[in-house]
Amino acid sequence: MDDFELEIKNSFLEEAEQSINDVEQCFLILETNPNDTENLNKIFRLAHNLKGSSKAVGFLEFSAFTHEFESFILKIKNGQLVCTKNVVNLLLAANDFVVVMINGLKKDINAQFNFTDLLNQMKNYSEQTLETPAIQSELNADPTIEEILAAEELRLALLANQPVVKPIPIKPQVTNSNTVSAVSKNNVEESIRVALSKVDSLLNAVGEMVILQNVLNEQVEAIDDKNLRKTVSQLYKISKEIQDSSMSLRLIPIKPTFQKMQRIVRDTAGELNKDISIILQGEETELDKTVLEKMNDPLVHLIRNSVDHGIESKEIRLKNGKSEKGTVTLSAYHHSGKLVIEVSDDGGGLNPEKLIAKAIQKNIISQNQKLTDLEAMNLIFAPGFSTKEAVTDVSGRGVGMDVVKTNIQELSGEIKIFSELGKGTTFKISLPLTLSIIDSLIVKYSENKFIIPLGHVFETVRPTEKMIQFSTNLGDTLLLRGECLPMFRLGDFFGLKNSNPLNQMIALVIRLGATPFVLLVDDILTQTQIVTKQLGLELQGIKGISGSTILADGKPALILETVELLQRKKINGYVNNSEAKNLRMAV
Amino acid sequence: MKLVESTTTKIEKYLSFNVAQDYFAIPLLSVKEVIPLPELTTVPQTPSHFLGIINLRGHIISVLDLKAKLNIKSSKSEEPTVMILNFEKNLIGVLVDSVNSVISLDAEKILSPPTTSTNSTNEFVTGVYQAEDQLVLILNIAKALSVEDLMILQKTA
Repeated sequence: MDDFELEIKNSFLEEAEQSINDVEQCFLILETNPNDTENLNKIFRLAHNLKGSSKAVGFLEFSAFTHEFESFILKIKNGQLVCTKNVVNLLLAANDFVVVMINGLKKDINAQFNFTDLLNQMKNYSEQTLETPAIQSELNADPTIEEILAAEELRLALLANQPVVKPIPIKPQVTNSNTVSAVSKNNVEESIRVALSKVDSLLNAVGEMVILQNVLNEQVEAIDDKNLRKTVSQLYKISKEIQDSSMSLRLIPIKPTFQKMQRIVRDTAGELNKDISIILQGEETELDKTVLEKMNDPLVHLIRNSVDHGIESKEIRLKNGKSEKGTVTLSAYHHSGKLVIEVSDDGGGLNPEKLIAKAIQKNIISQNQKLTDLEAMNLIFAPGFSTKEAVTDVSGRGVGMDVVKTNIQELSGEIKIFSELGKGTTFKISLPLTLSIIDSLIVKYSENKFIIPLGHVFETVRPTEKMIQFSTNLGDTLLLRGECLPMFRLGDFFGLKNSNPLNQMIALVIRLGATPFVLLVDDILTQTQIVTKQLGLELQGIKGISGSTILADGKPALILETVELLQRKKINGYVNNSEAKNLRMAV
Repeated sequence: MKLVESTTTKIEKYLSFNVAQDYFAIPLLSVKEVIPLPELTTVPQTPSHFLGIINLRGHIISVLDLKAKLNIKSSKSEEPTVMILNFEKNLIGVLVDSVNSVISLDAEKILSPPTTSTNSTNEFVTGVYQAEDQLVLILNIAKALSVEDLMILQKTA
């Protein structure tokens, strides 16, 4: 295969992926409103386009499949097939398969697929329904196909709120081309596709500019020249603006992710025999591409949880005087420089007493521990906690909520629960808008400066002598308000010697991972926003270091991944015996 | 991981540089730029020839010390220079004592290195060239720095 062919094939795959994303939600509309012609046309156009362009670039298998897909949809369009739940399921299966093929081909351009089953299903389904009187009688007593078609067309036209000219019997192509032109007048903001690497290199340059701007601001302070100061301050405003708008380039709307969730609610509710509708709000909200990608799994998990654990079964809902149909709401909005995503359901809510009982049973808390309701609710994030008795396919494997929390914290975000018994539960996730600029502490240890993301640090303490305890078995520990936390000098992890007395150092309390612990540093120099920079391949994957940044003086500094530091210590064994014991206890 | 291989043309351009008294040359195409040694930030617990990281116009680049890696002992260099090299898509800086000039070498005149030598540098020397008054060693620098090892090591660590 030559380069050109490879290139057009790849660009086809990219386009195909995009268009299939755009159409996903149409399939779902189809189910609630099977007679929406506009919607059906969209799906038809998708299949048609995929068929045409896949053939053009030489994916013959792909084109054969989409051809059958297209014919199937055509039958629905022509009214030869009634759009039942089974038909929608088959359509979704076909849609899924197209996605599978796209992904498969992306990995291996020569991939082969077996779709005879699905193909036959589509073929036979159509033939079956044509001949089965059962389905026809659903429509009318004993009509001819032409009559059915005419009736359908009329109904379609009425529903679509279009003036009924005359039911056109068997010329579907004509009606269809009319509607196509009517639909395609969508008013969308124009856009161009740009390679992510280009955006990143722009952001890199902008980051550098911001640093130099800060240096310039400092330098100009020393010079007594009004004009110069004025120019520099104007330049500062402009670079700020450039920074903001270039950062927004990496932001993409949350809409496609939300639409995927719509599908998950539908499928999961179906499996559990629940009737659940999903409301999407703020689909246009934008966030960083990387953040969005990393949020996908946690969102899937939360949504499944809401459908499975949150919303009660139909019977219970009716008994409690609620409507049979449950609602899951997914909303996104910006709030004070953060992105907020809320997943809420109108289900039974969390029962703190049950949660506590469960946690005691699972040995997560001890019998006589007193918890507030909020603390009890947060138990669901504890590793190994699952409230439902029976392990289902949908959720309840006991992993999950703790992973959700960790994933969100890795993005420097946080998750909160609001729940009212009998009324429902809301999970509120707040995330930074971008990962490339983070709030951080610049700390000093010996002669080195390190960056610690602010999100990692729960609190900072200057320990008094009373708080510092040492025992041969446990090593240094910090007694903080009745809690006993293992304490390490930052340099211990890196073999940096430092003999400052402990009570003259500053303790950073880290509560991010499973075990809270304390890092000791010489000093906190400042709190600032830093632009993260990737390290070279040779330094990636070092435990405890997540990246680097450039400080205002132009020198690079390392960004620490605090939780990983602890693992680094364990694996590499840079610890003396007493510390090793301490770790075994702590981790 | 290979540096740019010689192509069909016979005349190849090389960049020659000094480490202590030795003259080395590497294919010019693998060199992105040459800069005076900037201020370094050390990275804890890296090998001794890993000098640290530098800021090259907003990119963070690791700098390795060729002298330490080749076990060449000498006094401090007067104008320490960093060659920024392109190892596939990864940029790495290499500290040398000084960079001399770009030389054009006739591929046919590059001799294979003497095999009797037991010097450890021998593994990385792919050829020798007799310049006017000096022997120039053609260096496989990726091998000399064990760049490959370094990357594998860090990934499994």
